[in-house]
Amino acid sequence: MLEVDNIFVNYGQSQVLRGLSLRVDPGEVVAVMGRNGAGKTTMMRAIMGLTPARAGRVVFKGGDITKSPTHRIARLGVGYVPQGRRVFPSLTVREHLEVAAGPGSGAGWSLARVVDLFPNLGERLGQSGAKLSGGEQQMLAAGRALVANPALILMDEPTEGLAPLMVRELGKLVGALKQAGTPVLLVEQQLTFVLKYADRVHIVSKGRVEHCCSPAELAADADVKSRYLGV
Amino acid sequence: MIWVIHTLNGVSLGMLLFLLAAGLSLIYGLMKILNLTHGSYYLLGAYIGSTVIQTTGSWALALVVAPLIVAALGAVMERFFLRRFHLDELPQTLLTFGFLFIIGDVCLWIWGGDPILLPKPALFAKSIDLGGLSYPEYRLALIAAGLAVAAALWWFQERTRIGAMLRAGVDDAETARAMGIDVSLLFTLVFAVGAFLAALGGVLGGPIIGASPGADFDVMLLAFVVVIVGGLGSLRGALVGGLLIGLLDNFGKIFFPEFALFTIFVPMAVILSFRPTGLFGRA
Repeated sequence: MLEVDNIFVNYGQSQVLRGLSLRVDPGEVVAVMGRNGAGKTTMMRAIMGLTPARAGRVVFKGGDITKSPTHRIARLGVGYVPQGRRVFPSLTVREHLEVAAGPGSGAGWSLARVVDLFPNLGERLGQSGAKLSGGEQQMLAAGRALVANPALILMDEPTEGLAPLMVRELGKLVGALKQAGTPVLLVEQQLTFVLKYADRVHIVSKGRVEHCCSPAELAADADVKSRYLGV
Repeated sequence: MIWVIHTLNGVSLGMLLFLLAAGLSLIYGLMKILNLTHGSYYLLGAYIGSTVIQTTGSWALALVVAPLIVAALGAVMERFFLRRFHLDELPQTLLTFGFLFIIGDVCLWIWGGDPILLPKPALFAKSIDLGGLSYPEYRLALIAAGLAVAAALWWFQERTRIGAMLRAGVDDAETARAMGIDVSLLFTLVFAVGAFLAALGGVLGGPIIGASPGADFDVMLLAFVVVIVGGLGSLRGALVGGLLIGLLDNFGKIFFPEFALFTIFVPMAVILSFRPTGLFGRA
């Protein structure tokens, strides 16, 4: 489905990604963990074409998207839930869910289904995205990606700063995606969330994947947890 | 009654300024380009309009043809020149500055150096009686046209899907792209619409302000003041700023004719010192 092959990304002089590789297969939830500054968000931005890789390849559904423009990558079926939600203050909730909508992969996500999943959004359809609570903004950022019916969803720290109740709501969504067979690439700091939903876990450190294991193996591996995650 | 007339004069000038500033503001809001060619779109609109009226005798045709030609020019400028320097301010500014001179010289070459005034359309060529004073219908028609354009732009921006994409692009171009919105196509569209509106201002303002070498600079300066006062990137700011500057300019010329520009720039400085982003601008 998605193959990130040995990519390098620089920000000015500093090398943020140094030969990072990973793959996401159909139907999988793949988690990426690591300390702050390890390059997780940069990896997501490189896949999305927002900070294109200087070397290496990103292949999606068999096509090379390394240098493709961002909007084309999105239209090919990569959904993006950015870090910090980044909802549009000038758009209402309804407009967020209409502007990006499309048949996409045919998963059947629509405004109505998103509102079904997150009733809070349904009560605020006419409000500006900026007026929502942090949790609601996260629901909106996820809904906005869903209505395009992507074939793969990238989620960058979706639980960051969310109350436990909202984390559970979000878990419902990841569970629903998994059930529908939509693969998810999840950058996440919360170990419990990852252990609950991920099929595989990659540990990123200093711009490359240092370790790859199953959630069960990670849960049992005190050494990896303390070395790379600080827990 | 004379004050009503002065006010109407100010409002009709304000509507023209709105047409000029709206595009300038949209272009800056979305692309962060300070388009110094904007006054040239006005000038081209007025000149092309005058030629169309002379050759075909149709005012209505001029009102459509001139803005469309200038819109095409705006699209070409964006697509083939400015695009190469996205978010690179100095080359962009120099490029639009260069176009300002080139278009100014081309106009001088084609239409000569004598100032021209477009004829008024026959439909609104008369004057009406306003409490004993006669007032040109054309100015009233201008106010109506400005309001109609403002309403159409508002509808486009707030009620259409492309309008929502545009607002998303202004808010956060990067995230808009990641949602599959082709922001670079919006850039071309906005440049074309901005040029269209300025040229429309050129045809509509032709019978009042006219066209002459150097009018491109004057118009650009006023449009910048309007946009700075109203707030960059805001249509509402362009409308309110246009009306404010139109009235200030008009009354300034009546009360302090020797300080004509002063009455525009002092209020601008005052507004900026209290609201650095302009009346409706966002930080």
